[in-house]
Amino acid sequence: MKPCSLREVQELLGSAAFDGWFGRYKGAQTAIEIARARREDLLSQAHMVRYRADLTQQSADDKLFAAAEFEDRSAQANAEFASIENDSFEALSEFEGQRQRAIDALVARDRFEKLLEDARQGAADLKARLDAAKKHTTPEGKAEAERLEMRMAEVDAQVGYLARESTAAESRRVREDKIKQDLWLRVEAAWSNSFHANMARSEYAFAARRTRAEAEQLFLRAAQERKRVEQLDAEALVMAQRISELEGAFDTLLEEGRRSFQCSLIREFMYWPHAEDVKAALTVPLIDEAKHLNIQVSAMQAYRLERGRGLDFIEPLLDRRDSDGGGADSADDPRLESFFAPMTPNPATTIR
Amino acid sequence: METQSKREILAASPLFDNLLPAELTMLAELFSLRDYAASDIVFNEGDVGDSVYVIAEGTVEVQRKTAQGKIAVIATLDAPQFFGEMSLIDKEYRSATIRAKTKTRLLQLTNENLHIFAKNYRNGFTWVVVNIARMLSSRLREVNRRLSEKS
Repeated sequence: MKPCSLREVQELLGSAAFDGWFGRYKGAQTAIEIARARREDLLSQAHMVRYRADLTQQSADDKLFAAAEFEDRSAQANAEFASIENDSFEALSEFEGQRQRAIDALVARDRFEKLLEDARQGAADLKARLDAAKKHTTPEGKAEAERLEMRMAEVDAQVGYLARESTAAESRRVREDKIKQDLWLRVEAAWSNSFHANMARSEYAFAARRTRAEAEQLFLRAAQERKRVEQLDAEALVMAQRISELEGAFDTLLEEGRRSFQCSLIREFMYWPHAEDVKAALTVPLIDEAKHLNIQVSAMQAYRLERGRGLDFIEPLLDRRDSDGGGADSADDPRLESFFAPMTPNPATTIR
Repeated sequence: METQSKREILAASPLFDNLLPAELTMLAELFSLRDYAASDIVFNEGDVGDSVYVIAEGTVEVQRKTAQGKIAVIATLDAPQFFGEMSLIDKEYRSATIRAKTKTRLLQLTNENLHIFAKNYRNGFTWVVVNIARMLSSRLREVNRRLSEKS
């Protein structure tokens, strides 16, 4: 590697050989960037799909567990339904018996009421006859009145007995009727519970079928996703091999650059010892870089740097084309003359 | 941002009055572009200062802490004004906080990069210092005027 002047570096940058090499350099760098981006994308996709497959598998397991729970609930509801149905038949049978007892009680009460009514009617007739007999003053009349009074006492006792029995029969009827009503409510409640249990059995069975089908779908999807992960991993591996090949070709290109242009070339910057300054070097970036150096650099532009500091501190080179002809730093810079020119007196403070 | 665009922004700044095209070109290469979102702090009062900034786009606020510890906005600057030059001259800590009021694009020149300019363009560097001195002098005159008005 021989020291170079800025002119030599600029001539090199303008040569067809360098132009051709730089074109291949940029192509190789772009190909590596594309391949790396593609590999990162594949790995990222693989990670995401793997994560999704795990979640899908977990979800499928949860669904399967939920389906089993629904099946258990359906079986429980079915057992409950059978038990309630059995209870309802028993309650209905009991109700039928009680209904008959209530009818019997009603009939008995009606019979006592009829007897009581007849007895009261008889008592009223007897009372009329007794009152008529009491009006007779003959001995036969008196005897008849005494006989009727005795009869009247018997009939009153009979009426009293029938009135008590009738009241008792009504109480019995009311009690039996209440028992019948309660039994009917029990039958109705059993039927309602049985209906609910049967609907629960059928709905839980439906939910179990649907959930199990969903679980199967999810297991299928998890398997497909795992297969996709395998494909993506395989593609990423192929891309890694491709990157390795591209990097090998890139290293060869860098070596060719070092040899052809007699420079030090690491990856993105070319360096030559400065022919006119033993402490300095010239560098040419092969990339644009705006943020991570002390100045913004552009590809294919020459810059100066200190050998001791390298890229830690880059300096732009003077642009001779933009120079004002070398007078910029000359002692006769007209700007300095104007700066040091005497001040015009202030009219406001000048003494006339 | 291209060097040419930076050069046009710098040419409009009073900091670089009287500079020659070649000097502006080199300065444009030495300035780095910095983007800030609204409310971002460019630097804080008391920070070590090693750069001067020229506003390319947007608006910044100059803030100082009052004796009561409150933040007071003492000035608002926009393109092509500049700030941060005092620390370059007196090597003191930052005298104020600069906060982006809007989305802001600044050009930053570090002390180290100014040194490159000074090595290459002595007269140009002199003019930058003269411009800073003129600006500081103008501020001092303004302060004096206000003080005399108050008294």
